[in-house]
Amino acid sequence: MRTEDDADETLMLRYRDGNADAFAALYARHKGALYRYLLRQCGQPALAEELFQDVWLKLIAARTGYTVQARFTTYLYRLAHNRLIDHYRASSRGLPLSYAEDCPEWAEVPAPAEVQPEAQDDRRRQAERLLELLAELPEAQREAVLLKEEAGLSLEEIAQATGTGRETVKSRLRYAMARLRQGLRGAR
Amino acid sequence: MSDPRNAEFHDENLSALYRVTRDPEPPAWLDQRILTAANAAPQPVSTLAPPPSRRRRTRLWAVPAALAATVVLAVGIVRLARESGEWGPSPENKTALHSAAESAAEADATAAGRAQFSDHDRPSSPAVELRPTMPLGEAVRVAPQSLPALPAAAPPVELEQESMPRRPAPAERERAREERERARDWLRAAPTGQRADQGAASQDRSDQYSPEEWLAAIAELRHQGRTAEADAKLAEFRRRYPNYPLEVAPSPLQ
Repeated sequence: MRTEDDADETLMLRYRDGNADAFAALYARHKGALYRYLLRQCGQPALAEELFQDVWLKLIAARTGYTVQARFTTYLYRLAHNRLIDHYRASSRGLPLSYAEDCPEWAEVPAPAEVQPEAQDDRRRQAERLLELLAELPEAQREAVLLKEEAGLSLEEIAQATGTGRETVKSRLRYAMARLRQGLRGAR
Repeated sequence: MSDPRNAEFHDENLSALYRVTRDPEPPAWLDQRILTAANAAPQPVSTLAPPPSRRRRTRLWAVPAALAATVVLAVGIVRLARESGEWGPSPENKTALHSAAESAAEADATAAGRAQFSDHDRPSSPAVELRPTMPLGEAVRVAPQSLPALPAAAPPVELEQESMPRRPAPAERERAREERERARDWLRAAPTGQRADQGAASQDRSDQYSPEEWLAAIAELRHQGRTAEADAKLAEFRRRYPNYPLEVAPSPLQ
């Protein structure tokens, strides 16, 4: 149970005031989830490492202007989301269509093929299948799931971190969960 | 996410299955790099003021240097202006102006047959000397033109700054000095300047002087502070002219 003293926001304020140990604690607390978020969004470890480093360096550079306006996690993933969007825009593909507020393609995405039960003999395989299904989701839906599962953000916090409306986040999550359940149906 | 309204978006089985996949972690070298970057800049920006660059250091010195140069130039100009007389007379110029005024007054007095001296020169002037041993009838004849005019004969010299010469030329100063010397020589050569030991010939000439000339000479002695000599001459005068009414001219004798 975190106390007021070791809350993320308190640690970030201490780091802003010059306490390097506070940053180390924050980093240890969030590095895995952030790395996985980036890795599963871009799909390439090398690219994920580059984005991961950029996000933390951005946090370090912005430390002097930090004030507690939201949960630190929301702040951190807002930085990560923006870095991802910059990466998408700089790529040849451009910004994925799924980031549109009302994406008509969501309903047209083909349903994942049902997995044969014999292929899901253990939980580890089910987890790998989940990751496969996750990778097949449109980027915006996948991001919503990752922010919910990795960062533990609520709908409102996901909307805040991604700069979208709450209803948009609900739609993305609703479609994403339906597709994941459908893909794992045979595993239950 | 425990809100019932979020139940549509939360599947505990899916979440549990996802937690199994939480394997990947950033590599250790990436951890080290980021922590190093964080440690390199932990201090607040206010305490990390960078040392001023060379250009900034130069800029910091610019204003004081300009002020110092301005002060030095201003002082130099004022000193030069004062020495050249452009901004009022300096002490040196005041002396020169005073000498020039004296010269002008003495020249005028000489031309009028009267010796004029400034107050500064008067105490040391041997202009009027009466020999104590001189008999009444042989009193040294005081040149009439040299006696009564001393205090107030010189016209006031207006030291107007604009009309005065800025700095008397050496030739002018030399001329003024020569004029002063000539006036003093003339006064020494006058009968009142002769000393008692200069011979009987000059004593004989004292009989030629009138009582008024005696009184003028005594007044001049008093004016010069030679009171003892003045008293002696006054006694001599009374002896020679016992009936002369001294009341008509009390001020010079007192």
